[in-house]
Amino acid sequence: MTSKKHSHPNAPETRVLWLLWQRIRSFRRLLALVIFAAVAGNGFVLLSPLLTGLAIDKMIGPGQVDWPGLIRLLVIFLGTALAGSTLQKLLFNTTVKIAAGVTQQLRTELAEHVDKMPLSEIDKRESSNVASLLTHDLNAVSEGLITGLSQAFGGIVTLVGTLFLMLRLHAGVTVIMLVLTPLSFLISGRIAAAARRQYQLESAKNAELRQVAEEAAGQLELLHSFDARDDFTDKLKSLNRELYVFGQKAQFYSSLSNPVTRLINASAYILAAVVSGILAAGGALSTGNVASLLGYSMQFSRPVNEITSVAAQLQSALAGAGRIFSLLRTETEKPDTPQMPVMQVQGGSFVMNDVDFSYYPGQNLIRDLDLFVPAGSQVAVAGPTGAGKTTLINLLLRFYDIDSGDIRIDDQSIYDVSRSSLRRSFGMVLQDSWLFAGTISENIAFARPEATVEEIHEAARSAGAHSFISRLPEGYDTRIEAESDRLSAGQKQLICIARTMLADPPILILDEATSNVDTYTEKKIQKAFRRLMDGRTSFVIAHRLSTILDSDLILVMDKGQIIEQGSHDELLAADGFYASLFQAQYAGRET
Amino acid sequence: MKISKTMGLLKPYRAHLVIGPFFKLTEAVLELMVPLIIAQIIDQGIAQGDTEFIWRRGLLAFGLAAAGLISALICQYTASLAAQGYGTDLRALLAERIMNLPVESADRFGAQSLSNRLIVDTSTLQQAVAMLIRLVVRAPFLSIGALVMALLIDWQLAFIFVIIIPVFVWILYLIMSRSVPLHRSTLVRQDELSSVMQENLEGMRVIRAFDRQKLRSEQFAAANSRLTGLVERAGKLTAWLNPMTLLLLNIAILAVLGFGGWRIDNSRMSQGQLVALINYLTQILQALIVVANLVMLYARSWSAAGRVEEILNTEQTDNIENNSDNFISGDDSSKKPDAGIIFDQVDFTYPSSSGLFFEKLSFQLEPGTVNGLIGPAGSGKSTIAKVLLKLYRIQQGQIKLAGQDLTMINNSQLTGLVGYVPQNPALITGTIEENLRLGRTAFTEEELWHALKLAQADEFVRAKEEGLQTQVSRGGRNFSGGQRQRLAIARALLGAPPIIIFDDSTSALDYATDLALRRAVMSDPQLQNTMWIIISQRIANIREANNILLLDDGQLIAQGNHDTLMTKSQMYRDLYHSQLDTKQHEGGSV
Repeated sequence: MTSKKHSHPNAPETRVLWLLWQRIRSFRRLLALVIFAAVAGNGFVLLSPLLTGLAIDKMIGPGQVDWPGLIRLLVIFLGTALAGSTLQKLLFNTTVKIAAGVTQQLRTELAEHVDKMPLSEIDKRESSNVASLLTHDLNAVSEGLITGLSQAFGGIVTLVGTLFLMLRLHAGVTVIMLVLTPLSFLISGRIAAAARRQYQLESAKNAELRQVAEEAAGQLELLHSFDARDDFTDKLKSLNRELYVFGQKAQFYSSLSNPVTRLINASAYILAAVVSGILAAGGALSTGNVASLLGYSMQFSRPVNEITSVAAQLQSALAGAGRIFSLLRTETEKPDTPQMPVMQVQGGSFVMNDVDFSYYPGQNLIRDLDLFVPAGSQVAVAGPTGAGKTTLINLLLRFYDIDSGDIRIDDQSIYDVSRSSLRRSFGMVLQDSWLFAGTISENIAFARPEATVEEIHEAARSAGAHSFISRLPEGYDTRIEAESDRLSAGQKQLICIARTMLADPPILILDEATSNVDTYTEKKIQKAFRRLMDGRTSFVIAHRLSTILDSDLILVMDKGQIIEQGSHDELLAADGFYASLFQAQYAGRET
Repeated sequence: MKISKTMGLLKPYRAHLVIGPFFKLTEAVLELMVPLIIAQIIDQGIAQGDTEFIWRRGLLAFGLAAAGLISALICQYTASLAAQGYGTDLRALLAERIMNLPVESADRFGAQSLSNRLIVDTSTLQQAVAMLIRLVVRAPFLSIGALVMALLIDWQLAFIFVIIIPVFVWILYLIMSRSVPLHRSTLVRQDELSSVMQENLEGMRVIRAFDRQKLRSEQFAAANSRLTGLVERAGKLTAWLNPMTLLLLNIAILAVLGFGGWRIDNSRMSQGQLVALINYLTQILQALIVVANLVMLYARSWSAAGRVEEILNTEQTDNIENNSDNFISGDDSSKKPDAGIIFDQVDFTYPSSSGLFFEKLSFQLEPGTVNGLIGPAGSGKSTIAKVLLKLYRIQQGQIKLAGQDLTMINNSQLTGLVGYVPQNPALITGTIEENLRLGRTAFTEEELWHALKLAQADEFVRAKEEGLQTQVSRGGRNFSGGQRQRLAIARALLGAPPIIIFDDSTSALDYATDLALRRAVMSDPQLQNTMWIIISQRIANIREANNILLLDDGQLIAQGNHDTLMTKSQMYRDLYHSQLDTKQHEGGSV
């Protein structure tokens, strides 16, 4: 049905820049403010060495101080200093605002996109990788934006302005300074490149070490029970030794850049002092001019020195933005339109017509599947591990689209109604209990946040969860955290069941729902489920044949195909796959 | 907070810690000379028109700067050796300590936190050592040195410095002390947001099935704008740093110029000296910014050191290296010891809870028998296995394994004695072979295949192109639940240990596979004298056991075979009927 496009993980940089610019564009006014503040602010800052020089020239020696002139200069100096700092603060504030706005926008886009991504795309990805787009990559983008906006404009203004002012003071000295600049640029660029190479090697090793460490720490119980901890310790230690080699080099190379730039700057400074000194000795320059030139020689080197670090930061910002945009480029589920009819479930009869489906091209998992489920029947899906039972859920709820054929519920094609109304018709309890970070009552009321406390408690009671929840110190207000083990697997599942109870959907899908619950509770749950299933179409996926013997219809799956369907007695009489599975269980009891 | 163990590892680098700063100091001294020389160029060279003097002084200044570079390079090299070396030593020690943490402590820390301490905190500390050598001496020395030089030039005028420096330090303190906590809460909010995202991804099926995307996006949007607000506040606060520094510097220059004019007028000072003073002023403020950053780094390092120290101070599992030679090694599978298990008056408390979980728990399991542990969730079935495997330590009483006190059996002997299939079949990154061996090198490939065959796993492993060398991705995600479980079973069967524990280990297997597994295992000649401990919630799974322990709330309610328990224990009967009830369609054939 949908064509499976290939996504390009590495969008070219110009494209990334263009996409980034589209987000920045909405902050046009702020951007104008940034340019103004950068130009004006740095302009004022640039004046201070000039004013210092002029002031020094007003005090040639004892008794030769031009007090009125000096005071006038100092007043101007104070004014430019205040104006410069104020504008700088404005510049930083504005860039922070833009960066925060753009990253907020990107976060929203990411979240909205993920909401619309088909599960085929989500299943492909490691959830922690997507989550790290929000932290690691967005941080890089934000820092890159702040540096880029404040430094780039500021740096250019400083560079051009310094050059201009120096040229006005003395062209010859300026030219000498200009000769040193590419040299400085070249050397610091070389150092930075060498350091970056080592850093890349180091961080690759570090990632490897981290992965082994995380796994070892997470599996300590297993390693402990097989006495395999020493092997892991050795593995960690040898990785650590390899890390040393790269790390030491990376550290040394990167620590070269500061002293080397200091030498280059000092050389420029000294050269400026010598050349302008000689000129001043000949009377071509005043002492104040010398002081100004010295001041500028220090300012001039600053943006040049920073270029490499700014460039590296921009590079990692672009890389982060590239990863973000490549996720944003993946296809999304076609959104529901308001015209789309709403799924109206009356009895809940299912028809599947000639359904073909595969997870990837050429797989041919399901072929020519035909199925009729009368309204209100309880359908059991049986078969060995990995028979494709979860595939059925994926198709019924349109998590995945079929390749051809049709699926109809109460004579409405699931492809003609809105996804949200289709999905709302189902209630699921899946094998892995998914709960979100929040209180127990928030989790139970997930489908119906408007539910009253009584309704929540009632749902918990019918799921058999009320008694253990009430025994918790904080009861229904107990917070569930992602990784916490405050609740057992069985308890988590009971909460999921309560959630479904409260949602009260017309169609049910129960997947391995009771495999983690102890048998006392299981009995209660089964009773409650039977109540819930009464009159509703329900699909029960379970390993245990005994729990599905109640069903009106049994679908026997193997290798992705529904190979047999019928009632228990019919299937036994047919003496096929189901019959042999059932015998296996029966026989298992006897040995 | 004591961080003596973390600091103690610095010992081998004592020489580096002296040499590095010494050369850095040399560089700083040389650097401080430069403004003085420039002042001479202005006062003598320019004033007297002495070009040659200017050249000579210029060369001297350049020579000093070059010598400074060499000193600095020596220091940087020393620092990289010491810092990286220290970091490596620290990581090695920490890795060893982490791997030998008792499971209960590891649980308390959590895997994420442990690996963060090993990777992130050690690299912070490593950075701190590098800075200790590179900057801790340089930056304060430069600011103090520049101040001294300024005082030497004109102590009355340099008094301005004495006023301006504390003001500057105060401003730095104000900005940083406020922005540090802000940045910290920004990070917390950020993590929050990314875990909401992760949660959404993992629960996407449920969220979509309930059609609650909107609710989740609203929660996300709220968290998002809270984060954005924080980021802006933190950013704007930090944005004070540069303009304020600049303003202060300019005000100081202004003051120096004003008073300088007065000093020059009274022939107390020269123009060159004035330029030098302004130069020193700039140096001081720059150095102070470095000092402020150092303070932040060391604040971070302090808490990193605390976290590292916490692990170094956590008690390690006690492993007995040498014990009695007469103990038959578990590796030697040809002569199995009479591996019986005795729990004698065992008291046990989970580290996180207060009350006793087991109180005077006593029972005995005979060698070569099939034993079932049954009871509701949380009754202590798995805990018995974990205590037996020494994952947790008991507080009172005695556990005897093969006639030996459990505390006298070391870990490798224990592994040879007990094969364990955990409830969640954990696999690690590596090949199938590595997963089966888990460090036990002695087994032949034939033995691996035999174990796979018993576990009904040989077929799917053989179907893989690379067979035993097939890569297992993290957590075994590239295998289905049933396949993971069978691999975990094969791992435990490997070497036919005298005791094998199945902790609800066949839950993901269908009946046909489960049955084939049981049959294969029961008829294997090497496993004839094996003691089985089968943990389950279902009577059907343990009904045929020679001996069944019924547990509830950490207490042994009853012990015996199925028929005995049916007559003896009301709870067992209830359990039986409750399970029977749900399976009534089988005609009571449970």
